[in-house]
Amino acid sequence: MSDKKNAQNVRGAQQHRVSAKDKRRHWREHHAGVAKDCLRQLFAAPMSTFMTVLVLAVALALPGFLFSALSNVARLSDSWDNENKIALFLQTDLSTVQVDSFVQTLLLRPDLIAIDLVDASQGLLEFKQQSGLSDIIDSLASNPLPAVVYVLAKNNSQEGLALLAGELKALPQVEQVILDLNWIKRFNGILLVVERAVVALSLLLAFAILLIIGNTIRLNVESRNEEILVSKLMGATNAWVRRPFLYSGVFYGVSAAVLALLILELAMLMMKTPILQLTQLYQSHFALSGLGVIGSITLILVSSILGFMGALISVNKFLARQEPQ
Amino acid sequence: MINFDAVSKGYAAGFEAIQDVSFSINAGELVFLTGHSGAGKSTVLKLIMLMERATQGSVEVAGQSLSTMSVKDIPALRQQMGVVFQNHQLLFDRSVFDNIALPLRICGYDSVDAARRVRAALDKVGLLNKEKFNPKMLSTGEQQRIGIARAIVHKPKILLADEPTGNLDPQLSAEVMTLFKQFNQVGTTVLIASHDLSLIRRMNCRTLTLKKGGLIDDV
Repeated sequence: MSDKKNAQNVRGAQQHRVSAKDKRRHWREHHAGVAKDCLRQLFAAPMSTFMTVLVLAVALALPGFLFSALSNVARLSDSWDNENKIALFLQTDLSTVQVDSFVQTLLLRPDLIAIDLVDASQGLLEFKQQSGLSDIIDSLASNPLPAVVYVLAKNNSQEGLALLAGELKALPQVEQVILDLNWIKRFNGILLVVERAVVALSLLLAFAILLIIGNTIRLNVESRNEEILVSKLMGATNAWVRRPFLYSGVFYGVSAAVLALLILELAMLMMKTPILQLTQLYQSHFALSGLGVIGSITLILVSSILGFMGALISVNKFLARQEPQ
Repeated sequence: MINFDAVSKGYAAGFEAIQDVSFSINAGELVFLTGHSGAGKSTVLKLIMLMERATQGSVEVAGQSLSTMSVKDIPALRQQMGVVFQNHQLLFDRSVFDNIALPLRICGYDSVDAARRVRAALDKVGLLNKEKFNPKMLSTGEQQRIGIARAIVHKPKILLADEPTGNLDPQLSAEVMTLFKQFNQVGTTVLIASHDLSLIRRMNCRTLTLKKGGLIDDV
């Protein structure tokens, strides 16, 4: 409003008016120019830039590797959690008819998905084949094994399974219920401890990255000391002085993250075949997965933020020394 | 434009660079600041640029009091000034063109406008054909003139110069002084610190004389 008025009132004004659109364009141009300059400077010393990026990439790849290993193992244990099979050992004094009718009642239960009966003679046969104790077993007067019913529960949460197991155990035909969740619990406990250790290690390495980038930028700032002082005397704001260094920091962060992802991908490639062989041995459908899209983006984001912070701290420390006394 | 009111500047070791200095320079004046080395000329310039703050008294530049000026307002103050440094302070990692464009980039000019202004400034100091050179390749006199082009490229209200003729022969010195006079004629306030008394006498301008930190003459 007032701008318009002024433009009408002040005739032949020499003042240079800059529209908001032009300002935005200048701002973009300026940023693009600064980014280009900073890239040019980094590529002017390609070897030292590459070495710095490589060190950072290794520091990033390590937690990246551990996290993806952890997520793979966690996925494995998730598939174990789905193991909702309960074994019911029936009383040995039940007749075949009684066993059959018990199975019929189980079939009517809505909380079970599948029921598989291994009757006593079948059980004995399997045991004979697998144990190789056929002579001794043959010499037994009667079959000591009970009939076993394997049921698959619909509810596969740990609480649900435990509840169901208790319920089934209370049935008169059932002698014993086997639901072995303890080792999964223990495994998950160990996994939690390892996860915390990986998080702690990652924090340490993040701190190392902050220091490396901070130190690199500090050297960079010291070497451009003269330029900064001259610019400051010409009225450069601190933000203006900081800008190229912040770009460098982010550049270091992003390129290190990309290189780290490459290293991770290579490691995955190396491990793919042996893992496939191993899973085939276990007849599992387990497939190795890397950091994934979200993980990769997170790595790049975290790394660029670390680069930004490292650069910011270094330049600010330098600039604080330049203020008039 | 520039007001010093009973200004003193002391350093930690008890050394007083200037004591109780008062003077006033109006807009559009051309003033020399002279005295032996160590008399406090550079200190006066540093106080105007707010590279340092006065320990006593008040300094006022372009209507703003510098003693209470916050750190974040300093850039805007300095953007109104052009400074010619004693050792010209050119950056040897870039061309003459980029050296002169630096204040324009700081002030946020767009690149087309900046290029036009840089060439105009180079033309004024007579070095238009040297824009692609590295300042290292130029003679001392040329370097000094590049320093002047850089100081005036953004058309500052105030032009400060610290021994601008220090390394120049008499003929070049006279040329440089003519340049300063031209800028002054288009309305720029010019303050030149120099100990070249014969040159100052020839220029016939107002002269502030400092001696051991005190102002002893203002004619």
